[in-house]
Amino acid sequence: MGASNTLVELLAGQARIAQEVHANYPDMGIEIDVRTGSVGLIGPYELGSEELSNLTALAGVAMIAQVAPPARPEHTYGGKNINIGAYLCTTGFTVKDAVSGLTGVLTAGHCAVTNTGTYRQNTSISYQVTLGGVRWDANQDFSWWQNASHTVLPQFWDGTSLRQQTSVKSLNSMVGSPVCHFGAWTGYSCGLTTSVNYDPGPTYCNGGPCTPVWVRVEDLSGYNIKCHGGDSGGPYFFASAAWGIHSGGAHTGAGGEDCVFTVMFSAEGLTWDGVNTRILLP
Amino acid sequence: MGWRQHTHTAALGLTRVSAVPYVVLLSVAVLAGCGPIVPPSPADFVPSSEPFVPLSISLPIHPNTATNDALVMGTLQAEGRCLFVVTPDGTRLGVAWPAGSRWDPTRNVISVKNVEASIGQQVAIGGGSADVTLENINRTTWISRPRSECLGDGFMFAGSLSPEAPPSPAL
Repeated sequence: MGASNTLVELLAGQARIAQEVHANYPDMGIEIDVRTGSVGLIGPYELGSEELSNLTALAGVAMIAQVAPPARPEHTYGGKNINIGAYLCTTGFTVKDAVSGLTGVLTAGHCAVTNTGTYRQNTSISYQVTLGGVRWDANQDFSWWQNASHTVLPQFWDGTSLRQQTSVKSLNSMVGSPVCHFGAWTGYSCGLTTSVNYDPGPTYCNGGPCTPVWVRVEDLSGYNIKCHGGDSGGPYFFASAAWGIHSGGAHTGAGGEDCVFTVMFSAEGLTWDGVNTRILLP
Repeated sequence: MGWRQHTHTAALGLTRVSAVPYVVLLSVAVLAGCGPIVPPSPADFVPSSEPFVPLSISLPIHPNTATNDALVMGTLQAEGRCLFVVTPDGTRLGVAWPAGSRWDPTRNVISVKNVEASIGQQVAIGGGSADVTLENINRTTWISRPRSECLGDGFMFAGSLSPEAPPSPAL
């Protein structure tokens, strides 16, 4: 056990304890913590050493516990729908302004056609959000949205469950690695990162040219990455690391499967050009 | 409100845009399907002298060119020489359609990547918003340049067209 566990072993351990945790600690979330090579429990309960020991024995892998507010439906997290004017998009990761301390949630800059939008968590919960800031130019495609009356959690929806966002993937470490994304219209899918110096073309960046800082994720053999209108802004991630948000894709048809490759705006790109928006970490 | 920066210069008024000549650029290539790049056929071009040719068509290089993936749902509406997408709140969006898009004047049908839609039909369009600036219009290679009166209440670059959007798994 411990940091020597493989990702497959950790995922199996996570699955083994899921029923027990959900039955006895309903506000606790479960994740794979790749930093420590363990299964992590996150939520409002302070687990005693005996409780944690019992769960560790059941999981068969190392475990850690972290106290955090419970994820509630009315809270704000990434991986949910957002409507801005006529544009339907996906939220990516929650963020914090490094100067003002204000928190909110990311989506794509090309979705930000007005200063107000509607965050849609499901068919019954939605609320208005206001624009915190937007960049849509040659090297950045993001906007962030806030509503001060809702708690903003460092979590995102991956299509099955909420994940904690615990780190930011550096741009130069992405090439050759698999990455997954969630889009509000195509759900969860994965691809292979093939470039971090991609120039998407002469009109891609707000109708104008781009600088070659975009990330290309391909639908190569063994992967099935999908893209469709409405996916913009959705999170790219691996385990609990935030990689970036969906900017676009190359389509051969109208279906989500008709996706040759996707274009990601890296989370690291939030630090460029004096921008103070940062991925919200625990 | 926080900051807003769309850095491809300031938005351009329609009056200034109308001074731009409607030039059809022939120095572009269109890829048919997934095969090699081939020269465009005459049907790919929409001369501005046509009485009703509603398509502005851009992104002429290659179908593997990426486009943004926001989603706009609305109704295709013809007005004069323009084809707008009118959203439920009444917003009229002008659209730059991707290379290979065709307009069939006999049926009033647009075809984008083998998906057809007709005037009055509900559609879902994948793409992204773009600031309409003279600088952007001039440096974009057009098969059919957008007319000033067709810019609408907002302008988008489209990459795909669907008769209807699939349900969102996030809801």
